[in-house]
Amino acid sequence: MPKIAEPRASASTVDRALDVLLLFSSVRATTLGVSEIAQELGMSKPAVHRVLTSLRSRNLVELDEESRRYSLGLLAVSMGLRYQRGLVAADAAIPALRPLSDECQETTTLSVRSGDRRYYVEQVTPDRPVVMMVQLAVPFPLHAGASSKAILAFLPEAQRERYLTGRLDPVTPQTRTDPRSLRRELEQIRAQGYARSSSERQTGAAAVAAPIRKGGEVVAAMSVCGPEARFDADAHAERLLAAVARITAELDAAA
Amino acid sequence: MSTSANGIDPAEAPAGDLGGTAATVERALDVLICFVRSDAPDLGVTELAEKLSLSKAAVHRLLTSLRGRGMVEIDEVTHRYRLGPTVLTLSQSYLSRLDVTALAAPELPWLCRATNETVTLSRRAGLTRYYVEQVLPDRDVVRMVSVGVPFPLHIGASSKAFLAHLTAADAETVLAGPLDGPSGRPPLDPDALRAELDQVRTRGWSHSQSERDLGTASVAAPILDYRGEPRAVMSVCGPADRFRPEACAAALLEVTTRLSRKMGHGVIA
Repeated sequence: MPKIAEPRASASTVDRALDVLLLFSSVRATTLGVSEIAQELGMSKPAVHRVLTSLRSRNLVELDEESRRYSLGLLAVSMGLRYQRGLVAADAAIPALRPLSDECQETTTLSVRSGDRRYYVEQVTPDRPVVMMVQLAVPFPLHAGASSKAILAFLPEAQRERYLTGRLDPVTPQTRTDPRSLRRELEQIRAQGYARSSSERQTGAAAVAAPIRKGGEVVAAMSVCGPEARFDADAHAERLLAAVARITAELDAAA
Repeated sequence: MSTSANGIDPAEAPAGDLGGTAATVERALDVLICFVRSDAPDLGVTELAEKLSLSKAAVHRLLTSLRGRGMVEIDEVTHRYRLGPTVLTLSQSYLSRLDVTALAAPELPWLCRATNETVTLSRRAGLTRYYVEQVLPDRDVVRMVSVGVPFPLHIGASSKAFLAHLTAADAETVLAGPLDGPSGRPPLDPDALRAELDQVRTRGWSHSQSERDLGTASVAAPILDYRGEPRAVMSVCGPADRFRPEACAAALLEVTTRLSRKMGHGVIA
């Protein structure tokens, strides 16, 4: 059997194809043309065209025949929805985001932890002129923002201490980075069952967040967040805790 | 050049392996599709290799590329793979850029020709809805609606199509409010309306005759998003004496089902 000529090239072809695909989520434009992609990624136009043909064959991108421009295809949505459904808290927590958002008239979110990072996996925004919108899948440290702190506070002590003795960088000027003061705050979060944040992760944004636990283990965090100036943290916290209590009961009943 | 766990250089893996570059990319995408179609939350290398008729070394190499971009992640304990958070950036990009009005607009003339009646599109604002588009058939007597005027959600086919798919809390707010009757008749009975909304959900479309305006009839169906929320409602409407609700509803559902799918509704089992 003859050797395949360029194993390296072949491996990196997949990487380049993924770069083309991910370009659709990193640029503001909804549609992209072959030349733009080629220029942006430093690829030849024929190479981009080949990749797009492959992506199109699997419904990851669509071609508008008239404009000859490409946009994301339906498989992109299927993957995201399948990912969400695979999360432990998904079935109980995701349907609860809309009613909670309606009650609070603010954005509601769900986050999960991966190692020392936390990222949003879903959000629901209220129907009003000014709303807060978060970016899904962008990792944040576990000490910045209400959702992060809600997770960190309820991690097993050894794990939490390991995190707190590591490097704690600020995300905004308001991020708390002193381990002693963080420890005190986390203790308070455990006592009251939820975390608060104002401008810690994003200046001008406020949030309350509570952990979602299954069998005692933190599997996600749910938050209510909005513009700081109008944010009624006490009222939102009460509704959030009621929603999270229902979700936790549902998860434990299913276990 | 990395070698796989079993020490075989993936480049020298035996038959059943990857050929040209386009084929390699497509196999990588097929790996992703396996995760989308699988009922299990995670998959092992062996299972993937079997599903795709590839060598384990080849699958391992594809997973390494996918993992490098966060498209899949590995469970450090079980060594099984699942989709990674990067896929969320793709679905969020697709979903956040969807403009239901723009998506539906090109479909309206087709539906108008197919039914030879007026076709409309409505959006919701709080507990009201308003027409954003209408396309009129080329005939003398046509139903015309007022674009941009807010209407309550309890009366008329388009309103009931929204109402049937609202969250329970929103629907109850509407049902608890004043339910002014059709064309000057007495107020509606909330229980009768609830029963009608059940029927709308089961059948997939709503119907009205002389509700908002005497002598008019209409069928309507929602365009649902991936959460099952109604993002817009499309209707076919005309003078009541000649209106054929079943035939119009069939053509209407063909369009709204296709549009709902584009909004992500029902794309995964």
